[in-house]
Amino acid sequence: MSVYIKSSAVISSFNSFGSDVELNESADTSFIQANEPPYSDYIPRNLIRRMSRVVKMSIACSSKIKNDSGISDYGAILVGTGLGCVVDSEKFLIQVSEDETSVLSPTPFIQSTHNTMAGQIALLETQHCENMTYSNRGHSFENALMDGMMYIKEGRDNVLVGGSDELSPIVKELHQKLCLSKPSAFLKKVGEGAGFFLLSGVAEKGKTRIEDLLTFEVNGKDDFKNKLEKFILKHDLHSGLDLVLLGAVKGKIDPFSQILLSLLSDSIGVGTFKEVSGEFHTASAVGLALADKLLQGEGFDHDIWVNRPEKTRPKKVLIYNNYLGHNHSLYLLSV
Amino acid sequence: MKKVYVSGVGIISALGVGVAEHARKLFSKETGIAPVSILPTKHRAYHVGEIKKTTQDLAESHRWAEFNDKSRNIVLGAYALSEAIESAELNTDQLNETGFINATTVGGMDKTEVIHGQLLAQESVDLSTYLHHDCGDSGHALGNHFGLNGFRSTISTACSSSTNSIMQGARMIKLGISERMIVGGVDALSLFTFNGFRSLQILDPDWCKPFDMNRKGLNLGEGAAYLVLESEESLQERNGKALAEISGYGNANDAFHQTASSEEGNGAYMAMNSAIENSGLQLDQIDYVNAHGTATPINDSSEGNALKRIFGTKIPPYSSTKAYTGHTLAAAGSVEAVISIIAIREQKVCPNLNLTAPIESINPPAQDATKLSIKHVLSNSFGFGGNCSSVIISAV
Amino acid sequence: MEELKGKLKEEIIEILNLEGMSPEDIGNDQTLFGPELGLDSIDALELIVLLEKNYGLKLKSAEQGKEVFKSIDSMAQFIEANK
Repeated sequence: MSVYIKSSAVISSFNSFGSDVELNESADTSFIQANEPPYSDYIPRNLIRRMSRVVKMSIACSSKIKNDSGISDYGAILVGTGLGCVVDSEKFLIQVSEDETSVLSPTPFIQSTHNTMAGQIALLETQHCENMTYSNRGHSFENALMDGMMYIKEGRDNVLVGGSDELSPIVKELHQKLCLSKPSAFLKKVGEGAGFFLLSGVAEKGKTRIEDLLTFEVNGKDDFKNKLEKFILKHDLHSGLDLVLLGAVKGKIDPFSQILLSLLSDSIGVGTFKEVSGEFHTASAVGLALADKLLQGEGFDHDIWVNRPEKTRPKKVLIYNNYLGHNHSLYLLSV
Repeated sequence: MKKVYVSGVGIISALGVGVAEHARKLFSKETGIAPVSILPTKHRAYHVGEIKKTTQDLAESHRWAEFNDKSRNIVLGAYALSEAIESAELNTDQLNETGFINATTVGGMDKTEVIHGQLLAQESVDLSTYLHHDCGDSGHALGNHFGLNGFRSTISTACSSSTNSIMQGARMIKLGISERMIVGGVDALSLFTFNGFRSLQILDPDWCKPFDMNRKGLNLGEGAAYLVLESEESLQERNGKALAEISGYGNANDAFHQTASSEEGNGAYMAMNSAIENSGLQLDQIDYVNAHGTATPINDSSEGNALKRIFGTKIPPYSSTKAYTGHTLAAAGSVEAVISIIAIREQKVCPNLNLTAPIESINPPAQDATKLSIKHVLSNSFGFGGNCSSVIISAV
Repeated sequence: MEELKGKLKEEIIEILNLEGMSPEDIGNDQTLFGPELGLDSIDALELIVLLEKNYGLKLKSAEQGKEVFKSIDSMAQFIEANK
């Protein structure tokens, strides 16, 4: 059973919604902020007023997919998020910490649950279908995607799958402190963003096909290498692979990504998507959207290349990601 | 179609530790709800379903020294998970290939609340503590501790979370992705959720009154419950014993409001309907309904209406067990799944507590531990974001 | 009284995030929980917070809330009467 990406939408630091704004380069060098579209073009005014940015990013993506594909009746709505609505959570926590006995404003509490994104999409489009939210660190998005692939196997069509996370004042503050106090090969600029996908089991010529998705944890580098070798053998990746997209940054390729590169042919193109997305639990959703763009021949203007691929339009792409050295994932995609 | 069996269960809640204590108290109508004693809130008179030991005491009494400084979720989870593993009689090798789908909404919130206070007071902060904030943390800590090295995931769909983890584990077994999964959820009391529900004015400061005309709101609770799910092949291979079967599940979205249920209970109706369809059972085969029954004015009338739409005038004996445990949020679904298995095992309906004037829109809930032939139980969990889920648990 | 009503409108727009609205868009006698503004039960709770935080006034019951939050006029009257 094959699963195809019928349509995708992404919000990251690069311009992805056709507005004039270019790469959102923050003056602060420790985080990468999303380049947000004009939300009022995508979300009704009466609904927008309570939404935090992570919800707006998710709804804007699902609305764009609806506009592009013409489909708004979903087979299931499945969202992954590492920290959920962390800005609203912090707002409510501050109220509680300051004075628990005073009268508290409930809005940030009701908007703080992790399933707000999936719930608001259902509410906006009056979708009663299965609705799930996964919050599992660096596998939050992968869990949602795997569930989407399960629904396709069970015969559903037009399954909406997404991943989204937002930066918050406290996440930024703690991340900065962490970078200063405990340098690590895995720490990068912290980011935010959203990637949403409409999945279908119906083959459509030219659409990106998800051939495999593997999520795993490892017990040391040898175990990691063994697992990679099995995956490479299973899919015969020594030939035919055009590009590997790493969840890394150019100047600082993490040790696991380096092991992967050592196992693949030198002629394969190598890109690093966290160069533009930054690190967050669901950054791989941005990675998948980027790979989909490249497979669809849309190209990508920003310099994410360690080794620019020969073909401008790759036919087979491998994505490898980990979150701070844990929660490994491999995606094999083709057109 | 492959069948999915339950081969082990474990539970901790305000009622106590373990299945036996829960069974005893449920059928003798003994509640676990009392005024606050551990939660560091200033609202001490509020009634909650609290486990009356500090996190450290709970960890130490089990010699889980590594959990001493961890979130309450991890420690509560460890109690329920160890019982589930023991009751299924799983060895290290079997655990190694067992998948684990946890469910939580608060994650390490109890720890985050402490850090938040320190940040506000500009005190020094132990950064590693913040790494336990996210919902994925407890699942990985528990998975690592108990050597559950198969597929891992964490679901966070508010109060329907652990019902969804049961559904997800069952689907993975049916699709042949996994042969054995541990599923369930955990949520500890936190200032965040306690004050959150207080700010929504849906907490009853006294004992909650599910399905009573004068119900004022819910009592928040805490707890954890896990179920070991297995395929028939897996059970045969290791000579395991089935306690029950997961015979149906359904998940639907109410798509009405971020927090409030629709009056006619659309999502609840669709979730129950799809669970019954999925099970292939006839309506009159459902012997008992363990309702969501939070005792908020809206939930109970909306759920009652949905029950009436499904069953017409023949609503099976039903009750809410929230007046025993409090509303344990993400854990509620698996806590009530274990309670449903207890009802099947004892062939008794769990009595609904604190009823003086039952709602009139449907027949009143069961008030006594009546002996009854119980083969199939429908258990409901509904949450914020319109998430509605139902499972059907059957005798084997 | 008119000054109070203007202030209330500004406060309501701010705490309920009524984006794109200005005080002139809300009539003194307009039904707050009618279809035009699209307010719901959560907004009612936020208005209770507003009365308590900004005016030190507590409502006795949800029923009283229904009366008080009918319109800007009724809110202003309640504040004046209980100052």
